[in-house]
Amino acid sequence: MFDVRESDILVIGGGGAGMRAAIAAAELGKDVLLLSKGPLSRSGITPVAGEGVEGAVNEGDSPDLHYRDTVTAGRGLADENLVNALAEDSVERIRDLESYGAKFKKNADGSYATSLRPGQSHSRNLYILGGGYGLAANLFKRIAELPNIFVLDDVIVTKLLATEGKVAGAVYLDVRSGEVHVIKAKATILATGGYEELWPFTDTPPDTTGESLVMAYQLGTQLVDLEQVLYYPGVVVYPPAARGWLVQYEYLLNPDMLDGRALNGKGEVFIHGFPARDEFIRAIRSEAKKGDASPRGGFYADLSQSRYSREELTSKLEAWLHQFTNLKQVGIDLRDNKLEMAPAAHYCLGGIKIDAFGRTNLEGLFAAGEITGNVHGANRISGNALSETQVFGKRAAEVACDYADSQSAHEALTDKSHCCKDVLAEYATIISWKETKTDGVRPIEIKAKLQALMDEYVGLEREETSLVKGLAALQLLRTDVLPKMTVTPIRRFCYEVQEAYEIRGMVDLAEIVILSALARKESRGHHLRLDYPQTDPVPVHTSVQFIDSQHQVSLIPVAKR
Amino acid sequence: MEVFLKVFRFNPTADAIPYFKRYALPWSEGLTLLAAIRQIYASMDQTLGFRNYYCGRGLCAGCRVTVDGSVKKACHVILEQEQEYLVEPLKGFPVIRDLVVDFGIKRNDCDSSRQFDLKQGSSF
Repeated sequence: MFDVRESDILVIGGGGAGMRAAIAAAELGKDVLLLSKGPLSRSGITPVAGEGVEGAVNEGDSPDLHYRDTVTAGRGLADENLVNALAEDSVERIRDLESYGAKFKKNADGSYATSLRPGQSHSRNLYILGGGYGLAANLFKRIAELPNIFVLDDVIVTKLLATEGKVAGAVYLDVRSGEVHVIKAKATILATGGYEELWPFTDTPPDTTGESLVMAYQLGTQLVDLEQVLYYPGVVVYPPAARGWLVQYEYLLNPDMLDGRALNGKGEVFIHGFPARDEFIRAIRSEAKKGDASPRGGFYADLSQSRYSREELTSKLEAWLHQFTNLKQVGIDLRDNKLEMAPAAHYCLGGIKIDAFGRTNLEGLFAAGEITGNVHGANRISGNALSETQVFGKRAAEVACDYADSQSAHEALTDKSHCCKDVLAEYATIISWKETKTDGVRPIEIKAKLQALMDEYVGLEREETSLVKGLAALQLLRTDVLPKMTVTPIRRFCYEVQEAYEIRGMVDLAEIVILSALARKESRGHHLRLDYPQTDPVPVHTSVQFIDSQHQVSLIPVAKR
Repeated sequence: MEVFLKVFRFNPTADAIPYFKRYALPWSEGLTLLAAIRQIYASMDQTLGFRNYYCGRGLCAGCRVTVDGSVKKACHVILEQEQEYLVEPLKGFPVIRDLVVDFGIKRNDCDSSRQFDLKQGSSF
């Protein structure tokens, strides 16, 4: 047996954007079903985010300046209407967060404490206490107060349902029970974040696999700029206990904060001033090419040469860097230990093309947060990601509710036999994975192969020859390895089945990422082409769309305000 | 050099009673309990029930387990060589399978330590 659940609004993804969307829809009186791949507020990317939330609150600052800085940082690819929405709504959404119980660091006079990040003309990063977790926990608290939000933890969506071109719900696997169910919804909001897991070194949690982005794509959703993956310049590679941890260079190296130094492998200072993320990465790559990078391809962050005394440093570390205590827990003291850091996949700038209200090109499908592709452009200012989740989560939910009102009661998918077919198809897939195979390959092994391939051919720097090789290697993985996928035959909480669905999507996603990278024959923001180092005068989006079972790759203009 | 984990195993739909399974892992400097659990799943025993969606750096508190009787974040436990650790699911929450527990939906109520920390402004 299986359930066919009905809901006005289906929200897929339990991070900052998904939770904010669920709250907005519930406050408008809609029934909301919120699906989360792991425990809500403890999984996804939001809890690992730093504490920066952008909002123009200081004297002399304004939404217009926030807008202008964000457009400039986007290196020509930011959709101006979306940035306008981001800049206009950020401060209001911060006040919403406060009303849910979130606390922001304040000055003695009660004004918000802020810090200046590279790319900002005014100090604009507010500090949410508890960092990204503080944001997630308080959204969660608000969700717990709203009786019309039903939350399901530990589920993976296996298929988006569509009839006559309208998205009308989803099929999902409840990992806890191993059962497959169907949800019929009048409107569906996708907020499942990025796809950093395509690469081996990331600072994001392992749930960032992007399979639902592919599901949307396969239904015809237009995606843009998939090649633009923001690498964070400073993620710990050594010591091993902290590998993969983001420790913000914006604090470590900022003269006004901790005044540390970035040193190359020879112990020399190699950056001057306070570079933006893409600029910093270029500097690291140029050290690496000279053979002067640190042993693991990065740099050392060293606080021993800070101009501050140890006492001052301690109080600054405690006040500003929430990772300080965490690092001490695993035996690393930033005042004494240099960290070796290197660039890691941090944020996917590309994704679903939306309008300023989170509408996609598909009827019934809305999107918000990192899964969307045209908000920031080719580079993102620190703090705009959390603002984005709140601004577009709410906006998408509001138009989704309007859309739901225009739909008669679940006009699509009224036929239960149709649902039955979908559910049986998923069981057949799972059973085929669970069959014993003599040369079976586990999903975790396929993931490792895919990540190695992406690192080698589609890494920080790309060129046509590497991308074409990557595409060929990917094709082999799809034809020779994927059919041998085998999972452990356990029904109750089998993470391996979840992984099998993830890798199936990741292989498809990798292909369109490579196609997008091939189409952008220039270097811009976080896309560095060795064979096309120039930046073209007119910025365009790379667009992919699946039409008549074909990938349609094209270049489209960037929207102006 | 090795490190030993005695891990709680229980599948409520298949096992009559819980049991422990002992794993010997190669030890290396800075090996965390979370990394060790991931290593068991990746290369020793794919039947181990665990949830992998953790931040891995002390923020989400999702990887908490009971280690030798006390609750700890697995990502914060640095394993010492030649030691044996008893690893059980997080105390006070229903077990779904092996190390996976159900946090429940109104779980802020049972997480007062976390709320306290949020008020203090430090995150852990």
